[in-house]
Amino acid sequence: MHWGWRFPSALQTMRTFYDGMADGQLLKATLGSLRRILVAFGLSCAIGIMLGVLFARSRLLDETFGFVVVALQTVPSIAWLPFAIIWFGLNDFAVVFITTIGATWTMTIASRSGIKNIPPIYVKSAQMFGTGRGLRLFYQVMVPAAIPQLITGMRMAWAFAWRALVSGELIARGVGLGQLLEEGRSLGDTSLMLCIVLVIAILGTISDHLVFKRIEDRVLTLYGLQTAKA
Amino acid sequence: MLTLLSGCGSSESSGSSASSGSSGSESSGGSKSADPITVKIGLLKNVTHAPAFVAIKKGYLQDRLGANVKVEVQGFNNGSDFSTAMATGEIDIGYVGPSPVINQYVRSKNIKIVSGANNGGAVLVARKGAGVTSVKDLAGKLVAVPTKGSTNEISLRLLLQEQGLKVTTDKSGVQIIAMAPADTLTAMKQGQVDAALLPEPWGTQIANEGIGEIAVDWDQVPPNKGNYPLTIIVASDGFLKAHRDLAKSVLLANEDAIQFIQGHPEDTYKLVSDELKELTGKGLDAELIKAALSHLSLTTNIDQEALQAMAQVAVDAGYIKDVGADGLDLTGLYDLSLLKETQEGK
Repeated sequence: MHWGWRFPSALQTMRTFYDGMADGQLLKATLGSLRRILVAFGLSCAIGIMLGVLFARSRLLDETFGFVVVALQTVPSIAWLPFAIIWFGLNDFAVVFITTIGATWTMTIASRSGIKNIPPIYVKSAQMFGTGRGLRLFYQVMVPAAIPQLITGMRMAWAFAWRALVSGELIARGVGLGQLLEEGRSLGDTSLMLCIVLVIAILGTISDHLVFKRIEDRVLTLYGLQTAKA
Repeated sequence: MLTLLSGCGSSESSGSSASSGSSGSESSGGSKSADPITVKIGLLKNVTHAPAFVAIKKGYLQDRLGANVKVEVQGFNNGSDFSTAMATGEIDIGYVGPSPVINQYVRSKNIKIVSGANNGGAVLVARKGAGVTSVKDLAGKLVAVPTKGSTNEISLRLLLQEQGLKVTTDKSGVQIIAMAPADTLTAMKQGQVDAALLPEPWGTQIANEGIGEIAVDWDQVPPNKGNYPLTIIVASDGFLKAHRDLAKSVLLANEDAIQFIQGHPEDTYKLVSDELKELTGKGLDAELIKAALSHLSLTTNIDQEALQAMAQVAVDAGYIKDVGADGLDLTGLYDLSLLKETQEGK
């Protein structure tokens, strides 16, 4: 059995990585994917937090649309791709759309429970100090109090977004890691395929360690839930 | 030789092949994991694969292979999927376009081209309203091909090269997208794709439905103005090694089918439509098949020079890497000895 090409060697994969970076193909694809995921992630955080707060604050909304969100969360975002293609075409927009959808519901649910789980005493004392019930209460008290949950939600949303992004890119046109992965498959280029998988894994790790984990650590330290690292 | 005829002859050969089967059976020993008396044939669901359809429907394949061989047919949407399936042993022998085979061969080196089936049969079709009447107009447009690195994409790249157009990922040049032909038809209807280089009958179908017009006819598509291998017969090394005689039977059945199509074109349409119906659940209009069949030339010959030129396009496109200084060596890709035997045997 000829296994050599099915499992590319480390050397082959590194060479493909180097070639891809040198001729710009891999770099462009990575940047393209990053651009899409950042846009989608930003959107889903904004929409998710907004919806989460609404659900947490309004019992009526929570008991009607809140249920819909839980239902939607169980739908894999790739299931929306056929619609996205018909609505927006096989372009970036469709991919950003399903990536946003993929991350929004998780974010909504995380921020909803984040706000709901704020100890009532925080809110009451804040109101006693004169924040009122409006915007000031929201950004001065509720958002900071919900941050640990929000960060957890973001981490999950980030992972969900990657899943949706790559599956969307496998089909849509444009320049991205998903497209390159599909190209590797079409050409039987296993080293390229492995290369993409590694790039995604590395990007995921880097973003988690350098961004989310750092914010989380800082917040936890700030809130006295963890002692500062030396 | 086991070929031909009924009754005792077939029971004898089934006995002999069963014994040879037990010696090299299921286990890990051989490079082929299939049951020895099952031949798994792959093909694409395009009219350009008409010889395969006729060989199956007319029973040539079964006749040539003998009654003790079980024929299993697997349809594929594109040559990439086909080539992966062949390289991983899911199919033994089959009909496909040459470029995905070359892409796969340079990586896995375990498949061989054994015969031709058909030259040409792809057209460039442009969407009505896209403003494309010649190749030059493709600048800034989006053009679909069935799969990355497909024979059609190579033709498209050659066509663009002739006009000095560049393939890009933005509007400054020609953008290429890989898409199943059926999806291309829908995408063109919605105005998302401007043109497509597709195997027949898709081009004619898009033109007939009024969605697009043929911009470059089959006999103008490079290389060699339509006279390039578009459908060939490929077999896995494992199959050729273990069942050379069966591979030869497939080639004979292919020749039978080509002769039949050339001699009885009117009877061919129904056969092709029936086989397509079995593969895709949908038959095709006889008129469409007739048009498609008039857009190709059936031949068992393999134009190695044309294939070498097409491989070079794949190299230039970056699909094939690590090419030595003296160009791409494809000598190991061909095993035309069986073809020679069948051609001389006539």
